[in-house]
Amino acid sequence: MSVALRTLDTRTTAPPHEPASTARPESAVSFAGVTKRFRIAGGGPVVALEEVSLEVRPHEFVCLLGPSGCGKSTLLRMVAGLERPCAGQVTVGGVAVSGPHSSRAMVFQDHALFPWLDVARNVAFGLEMNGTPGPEIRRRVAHFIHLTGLGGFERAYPHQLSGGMKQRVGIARVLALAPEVLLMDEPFGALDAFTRMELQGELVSLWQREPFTTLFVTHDVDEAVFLADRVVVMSRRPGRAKAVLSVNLPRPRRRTDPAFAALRTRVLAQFDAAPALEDWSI
Amino acid sequence: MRKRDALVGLAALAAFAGLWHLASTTGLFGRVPAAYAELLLPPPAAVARAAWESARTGELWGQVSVSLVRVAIGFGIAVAVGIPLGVVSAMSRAANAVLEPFVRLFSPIPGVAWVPLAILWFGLGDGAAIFIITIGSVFPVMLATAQGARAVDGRLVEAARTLGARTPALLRRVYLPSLVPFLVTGFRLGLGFAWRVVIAAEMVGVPKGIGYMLNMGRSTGRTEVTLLTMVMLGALMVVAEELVFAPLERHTRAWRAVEAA
Repeated sequence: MSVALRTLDTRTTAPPHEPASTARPESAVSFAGVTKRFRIAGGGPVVALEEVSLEVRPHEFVCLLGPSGCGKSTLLRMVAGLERPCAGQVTVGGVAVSGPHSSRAMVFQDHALFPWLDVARNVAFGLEMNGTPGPEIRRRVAHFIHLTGLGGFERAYPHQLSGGMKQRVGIARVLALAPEVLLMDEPFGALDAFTRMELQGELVSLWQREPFTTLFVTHDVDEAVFLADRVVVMSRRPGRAKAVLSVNLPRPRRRTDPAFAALRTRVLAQFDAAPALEDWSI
Repeated sequence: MRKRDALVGLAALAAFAGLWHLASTTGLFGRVPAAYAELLLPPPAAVARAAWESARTGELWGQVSVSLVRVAIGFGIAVAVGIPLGVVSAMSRAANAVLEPFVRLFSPIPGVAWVPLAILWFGLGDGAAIFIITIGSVFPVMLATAQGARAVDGRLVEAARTLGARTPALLRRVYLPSLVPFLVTGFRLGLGFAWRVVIAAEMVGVPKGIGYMLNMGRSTGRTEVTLLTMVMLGALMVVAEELVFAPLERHTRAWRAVEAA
């Protein structure tokens, strides 16, 4: 969202809401008629998101794909509890989101690591917040540092790490909390192409080990096709879910595969034409 | 390499002391009579004798501790007042609008300029010295705090909230560490001001303390006491720098650099 925009709804700091433990719901994350309006300073309201409805199934990897300004990050921030819809509802595990909670932690594009904490303490931060006992924190930190390829960097500070390593820490910090849903806001957007491909591959292997429900925001078509079970193509002004495409390519996917290229072409075609919302299977 | 640099520095200091000794024993290389030279520039040995003598009688430590206590109290008040004012002016637009004209008007006034008023109001004693120190050092502390509080990265606050941090944890684990590098800068500036101001106040009337000793050396014809006091001042600053500020800055440099980028 542009910084010139000001939200109409200021109730974004409500206390976190503990999700009730209910039977496993059909959808892990659900958007029902979600609308968000902003007011430009000195101007009228702008509809950032209009009537977005979407169901994300448990263990599913969904990419929100669209140009900047289509509201995809706003959708993610609503799941995180950092923003609220003006109309409609966002539910996680069947419970309406009313504020931030460690079961919905987020990986940020600019990593947002705490510069005064070393790698191990950054990864431990969320566990310390939710009152995990010390020995358990140490065990989990060691486990996720190993899993994200950060072994040997436990005592390094963020400024000593490359962009790719920083984002590994960002991912480990969230995974250590065993989140209900993993939220990723263009996490690889600031990385060079090779580091990006490397991390995409590693993210998929992590997800295959233990499939966590993932909502991944990107404006990179290749990235969406490589990662997602389903790609939600979004349009701009007003932000709408224009099409939902299932990606049924086997994993690990190869970018040089003709089927991969064909799928990429079909996703790109969504941005040329403006067809009605429909569910494609390819 | 560092060790050799230090040795070179020590050798240069020794050469300087040698030159000083030569100048003072030759009557400034023959320009003044030897008796004058004794008064104008006592040799290093005389200063060392004065140091030994005043250390033995407790005079040196007595005067130094008077100034140190004044600075500690005055600066303590400046911190206790300056940090809340800085936070408030960063958080509230209205508070900033009220505070800013005062800061703009009063902060450029040198601390020494308050000496006459302070003596008039508090008399010749600790009260006047503490008042001047507080006035002289509260602005740097307040301004650095406000700057730090404004610079807290909203992204880090959001990240902490999604990781489950509530308000008390946010203040302690995000706001405070973000503020530390700015506080180090503010404290260093503030203490520098405080130190200069207390010496000036003690020189122009407030009895006892380092500044008083500095002036007494001159007016009683014991220039070596004045020189000794000056050496003490330098040594105290080196100690404060090495024991307090250098370690703090080393510790906070990592994220200071990140924030500057």
